[in-house]
Amino acid sequence: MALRSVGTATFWQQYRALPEPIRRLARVAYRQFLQDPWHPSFRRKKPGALEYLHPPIYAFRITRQYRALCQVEGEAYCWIFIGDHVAFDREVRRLAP
Amino acid sequence: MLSLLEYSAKKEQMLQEYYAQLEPQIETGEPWVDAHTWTILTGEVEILIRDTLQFYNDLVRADEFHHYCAATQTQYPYAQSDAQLEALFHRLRELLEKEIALAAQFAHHGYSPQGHADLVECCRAVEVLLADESPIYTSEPFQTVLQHSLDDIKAGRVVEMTPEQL
Repeated sequence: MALRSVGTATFWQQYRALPEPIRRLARVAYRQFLQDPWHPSFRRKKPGALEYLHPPIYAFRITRQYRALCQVEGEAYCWIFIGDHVAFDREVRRLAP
Repeated sequence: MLSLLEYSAKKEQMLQEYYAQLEPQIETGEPWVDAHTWTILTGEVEILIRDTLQFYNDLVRADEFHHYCAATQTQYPYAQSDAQLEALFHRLRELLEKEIALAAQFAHHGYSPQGHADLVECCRAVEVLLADESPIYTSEPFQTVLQHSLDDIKAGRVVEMTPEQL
């Protein structure tokens, strides 16, 4: 079965907001992904905090700071999040009461 | 890439040595007895903080380049370089923790070096980068964003992803 890959509207919105050098890195990483979705540099893993979701969600590293999340069902990949984890964490702490 | 990592390792060592020279002086010194020395020390600590924060940025750039090489070079020694980078991030965190304590010591003497708050932010950033699992996943803002994306799937708001579209 051929690999099928789609991105949600939310994912695309996040992708377009990334800095250009990171978008470039994401493009390079995506080409690598199409050749080998299990390449070790992705550090593909199921986040424990999202274990309750089905189909399962996997985290993929673009860099240590920028990571993407993907819902995986067989050879069907649906990208649901991409972003800067350091900035997101800072924002979470800023919003915390 | 290896030369960039070697450079980073040397820089980290240099910062550790710089810290090791400053720390005992602050621990034993008394600002009102030797004001001249303390003026110099204040400047030196601020330089140490500035260079350490810059080193964080350097490591983040090195990590980006590392991932670029991993995706584009078939013979790239990914595992070896990644382990080296990981070790450097760990040593940076140790250095940041020591500098936060040093800045607090300074503040105790009535001087608050520039960049003290940035050190704390930077230390948290390194913790996020080193965490086994990103701390954002359990946060409410992330769960909200995630829900939007899952709603997109239900509503069919998905677009085929080709390398050309990225």
